[in-house]
Amino acid sequence: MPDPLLTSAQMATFCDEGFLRLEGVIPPELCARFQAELEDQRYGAVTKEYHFHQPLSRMCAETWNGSALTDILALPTVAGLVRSLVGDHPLYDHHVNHAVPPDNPIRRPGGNWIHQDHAVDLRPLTFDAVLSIFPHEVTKEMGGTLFVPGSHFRRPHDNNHYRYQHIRGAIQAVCPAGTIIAWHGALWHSGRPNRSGRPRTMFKLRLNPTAPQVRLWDTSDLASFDPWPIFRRGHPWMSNFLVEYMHRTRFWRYLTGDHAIDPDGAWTRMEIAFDADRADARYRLAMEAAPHAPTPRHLALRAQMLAAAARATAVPTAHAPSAAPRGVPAEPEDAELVRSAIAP
Amino acid sequence: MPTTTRSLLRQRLLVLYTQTNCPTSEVVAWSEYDGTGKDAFAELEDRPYHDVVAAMRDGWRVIKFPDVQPSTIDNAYASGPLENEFVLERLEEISDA
Repeated sequence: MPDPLLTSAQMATFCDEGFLRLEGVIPPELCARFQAELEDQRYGAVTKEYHFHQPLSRMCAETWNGSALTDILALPTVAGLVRSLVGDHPLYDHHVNHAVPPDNPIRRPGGNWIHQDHAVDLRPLTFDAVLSIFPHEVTKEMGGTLFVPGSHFRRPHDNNHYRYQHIRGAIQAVCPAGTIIAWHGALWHSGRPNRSGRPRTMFKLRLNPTAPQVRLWDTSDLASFDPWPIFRRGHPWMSNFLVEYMHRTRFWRYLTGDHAIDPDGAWTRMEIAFDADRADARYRLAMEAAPHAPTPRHLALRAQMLAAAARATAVPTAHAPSAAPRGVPAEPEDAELVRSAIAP
Repeated sequence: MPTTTRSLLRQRLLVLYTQTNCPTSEVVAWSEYDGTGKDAFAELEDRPYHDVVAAMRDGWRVIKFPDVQPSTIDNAYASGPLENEFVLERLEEISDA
């Protein structure tokens, strides 16, 4: 039986919020075994002893052979989660066992710095997936990881975000044992002070994709799925809402492989550009932020819109010499004529 | 010989990040740097003030407005640090003990 993949709704939520929470997916006995191995330093106290960017399958077969972690990754729900985000053959990037002692000193008021891992990573679309595995119950007092939903499109670069202490809408991990939170590698996050009398553990594993992350989930409902109600929710910390929506649309276009998707029309509006705009180097720079490889469907859609616009104005412009003449009903050939006029 | 009296005033900084660069727009994030050592806002669950003007009415002085960066065609869709950062200060006395 194939591993259960994520649904379109879950992927759209991941696109918008930058993380997904799977509560209690690891059985209790496996949680206990994993916890014991972590306490025995089974996975090493530091990461440098491991070879970065090797196949995850090799890590599981060799370094982690027979380990609880390998069994966790083999659980159908977990395997399906990983496959939906980073495909069939992800690479091991690195891992860290975050073991926080009880009543650990507060490094600063409010807790650790909110930060972004590897903040020099400017890849706008390709992403690494990070699994935060919580082998035991995490209460609020224990100070589980805090995430800032929707922050994964913001690239402060390096350490420019260490001055943020409190961000509205940030969510702290409070979860039952056996929970996995899978998050976008660029999501802002922070450890919090452990004010309980118990140690707190979170095992983090970062994975790289080895192929474009296009339609890796269960896409059986994709044709009828509308992501816009999820994308337009917004998050309490947001300021440039329109830009944030555009980022989500662009990411969704990457994930679906459909570069014509545009729930609020913002990208499509800019793609209605005639020769004078298209000849301008600044237009090309702006379009670098837009779909990079328009599909034939996308071109046809754009041609139809341009043809309709030309008919509406009924005046052929100097920049669109192939627009339909006045009074002539639209013909299928119009789209071809207009397309040839706007083709790069 | 004249003696020097050490000031008991300490600076508190409150950095408010807002939804727009207007001081009346709502606060979306905040940070506190407290020279008195009290860290009065450290454990707040939500923002200490709804907007910058509300903080001003509570005695905070604005010492920095957000920079307005014109967007160019090649950075219009880039996003990074929170854009609208107001820095406020308040001077408070500490105990002489």
